[in-house]
Amino acid sequence: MAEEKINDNGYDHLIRITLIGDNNVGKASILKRFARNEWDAKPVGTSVAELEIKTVKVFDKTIRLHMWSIQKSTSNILNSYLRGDAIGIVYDVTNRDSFKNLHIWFTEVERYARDDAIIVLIGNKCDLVEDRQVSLNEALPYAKLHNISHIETSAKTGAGMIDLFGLFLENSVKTLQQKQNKFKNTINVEVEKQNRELPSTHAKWSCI
Amino acid sequence: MESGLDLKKLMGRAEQMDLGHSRIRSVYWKMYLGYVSLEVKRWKTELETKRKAYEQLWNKYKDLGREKDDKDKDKDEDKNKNKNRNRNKNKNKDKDKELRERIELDVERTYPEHLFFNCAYVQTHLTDLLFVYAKEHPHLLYQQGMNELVAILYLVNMVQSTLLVTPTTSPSLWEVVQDCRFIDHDTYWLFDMVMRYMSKYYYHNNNNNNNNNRQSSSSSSSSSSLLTNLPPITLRCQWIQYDYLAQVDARLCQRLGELKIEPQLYMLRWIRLFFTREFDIGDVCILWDAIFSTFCHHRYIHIQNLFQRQMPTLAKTRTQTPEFEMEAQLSPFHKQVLDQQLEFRMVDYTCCAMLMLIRQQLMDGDEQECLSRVMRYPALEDIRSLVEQAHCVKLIIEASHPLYRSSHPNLGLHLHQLHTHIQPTSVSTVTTPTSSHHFHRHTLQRTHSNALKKTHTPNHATAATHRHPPPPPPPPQRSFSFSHSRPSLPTHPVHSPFFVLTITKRVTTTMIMIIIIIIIIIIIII
Repeated sequence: MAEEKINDNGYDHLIRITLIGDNNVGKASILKRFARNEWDAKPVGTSVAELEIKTVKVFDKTIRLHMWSIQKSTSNILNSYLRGDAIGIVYDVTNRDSFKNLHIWFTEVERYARDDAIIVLIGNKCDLVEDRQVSLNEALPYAKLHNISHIETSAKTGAGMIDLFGLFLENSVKTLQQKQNKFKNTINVEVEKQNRELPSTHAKWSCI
Repeated sequence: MESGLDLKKLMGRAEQMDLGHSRIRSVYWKMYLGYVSLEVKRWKTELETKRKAYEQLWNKYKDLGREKDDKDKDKDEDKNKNKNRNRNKNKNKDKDKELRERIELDVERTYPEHLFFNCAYVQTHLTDLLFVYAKEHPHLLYQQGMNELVAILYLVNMVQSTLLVTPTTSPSLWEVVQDCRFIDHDTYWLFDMVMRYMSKYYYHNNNNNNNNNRQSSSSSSSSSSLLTNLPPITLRCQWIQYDYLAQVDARLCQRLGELKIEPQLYMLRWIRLFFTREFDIGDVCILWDAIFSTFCHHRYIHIQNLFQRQMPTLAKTRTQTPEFEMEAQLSPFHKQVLDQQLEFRMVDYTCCAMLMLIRQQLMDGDEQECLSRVMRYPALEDIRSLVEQAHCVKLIIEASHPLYRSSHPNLGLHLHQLHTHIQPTSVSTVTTPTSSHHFHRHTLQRTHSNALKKTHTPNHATAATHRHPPPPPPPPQRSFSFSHSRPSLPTHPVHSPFFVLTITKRVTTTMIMIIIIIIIIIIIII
């Protein structure tokens, strides 16, 4: 009954994306940039959890994204939110400690996440070239070790946003549609740029 | 004894929600939270000892985690801090420094839109306070969220402090209580009081982490054991949604269950931060007035109860013993019990009230709408409607509480009315017949004006009347509409003298008209 109701409300799939990571790495900023194309120089620290909602169109499917950013200290209580479809583990490229702490987050994810969840390692604040403390040469092998994708983003400039959420969407939709096998590795999506103008690279889908 | 303040009067003041205008909100909060007792005579000594205690703590920790600038102790603290502020960042990272940096980072992100909190002076002081607290509570340390609580307390203390222009040898009580030199001290102890009851909702992280680590090493059965071993904050959230809310609005509770919205998801923030993220600072203060005054009320009910248990022989003479004396006579054991039993219950009631205010959206909306509604609570036109609603929830829930129910005289009578009134509430219209509040409101109008003045005017009546609260006059059958959108119709027009006046006006005009017509007709006939 609940499923039918959801479908009546104008979307085909619901994808839950959760971002976790140390404090002040910019989890909420990434979501804010993607969902509302806004950026705060002085953001209010996330307390407990923040939710952003966005609807996108991939092929003819309308997909609603529930994007959570979860505060460090509450991940224990909210572990059910790590059971979503996709998880982004965020670190700050200008903060070595946040990179060092990644193993904590991996254990969390391994413990609570679903087996088919898409996990992406996200290095945020890549626009701050001069302050960089974690190089790509370090991060890439680390991601490879854990067998997950790696993406560098900047919530400030919007770089990497499309790549990141394209990756999330592509893979989530793929998992959702696996039974029907409708989707191939490369998604050709019609471009339907509306009000948002995010710097885009290759993945293409439209915002509603 | 004669200088003791009447608890009921203190409560009434907050229920009227006008502490903001009184300019002595900080004094009220000090009393509500038990930082100073109800006996005004003792305030000077109480404050002195507490402030000295903080002074010692501060001296103990002030140099930790930062570069020492000057060794000599300056008597004027503020100067000292200002000097210390320009510390340079050292590369060797000890724990203190890390802790300090962590606090600083969050303090900088506390209310970034408010000029007050942007000021470096305020930020340093907030950091200092949190740092001292963290050092004093090594198990808890600093947790995110504390910064917001301390910020509001600091703001209230700061705004309402008094500057001694000419240091006199015998300052008035007012000047002592709100002395601007002791803002830090007072804020620290107020914060300490709040955290005494709230810390367990911050604690669990560490405990849980340890548990998890142990479990992960042993087996993969962590998820099953986690269910049985819920942290207190989760329990409290679930208790609010599945028990309190079910008591006041069963259908809404059922609806939230259907939506599968976990209560801890949104309520965690409400509870931990005392709604600081949901409303404006000014509104938050009004809300806190209610939270703290209810807490104070509960506190003294518990004290009374424990006092009876501790000294059953004295139970008969209990009626003559004022609260502050009972408090002073409690044994250390019973004081611990008191701390265990107390909670900021008003927070729970406010959570329920908040859900009930957005009832319509929650009932009609889909999962997404509801989620975003509770995650981003809509701005309220008037915070008072929420506080009134919370008081209503309180009345209903405490009716079945063994201790608290006795504190609401004539409760059973109104419960039925409350239930009928509270059910059909929608977002903008809240009707709350809170008889007991009106009672306070009317009886206390004259006396509350300045609690501090009572020190000079001995008040025998207050201490005596309050143990035997006179049964309130038959409740006025009035319902208040707090909405701005709804036209305010007099629900019981007969009681309104204005309405009667308008009726008589109308009647007389029609009578005159008829008479005139008759006269005209008579004239014509003639």
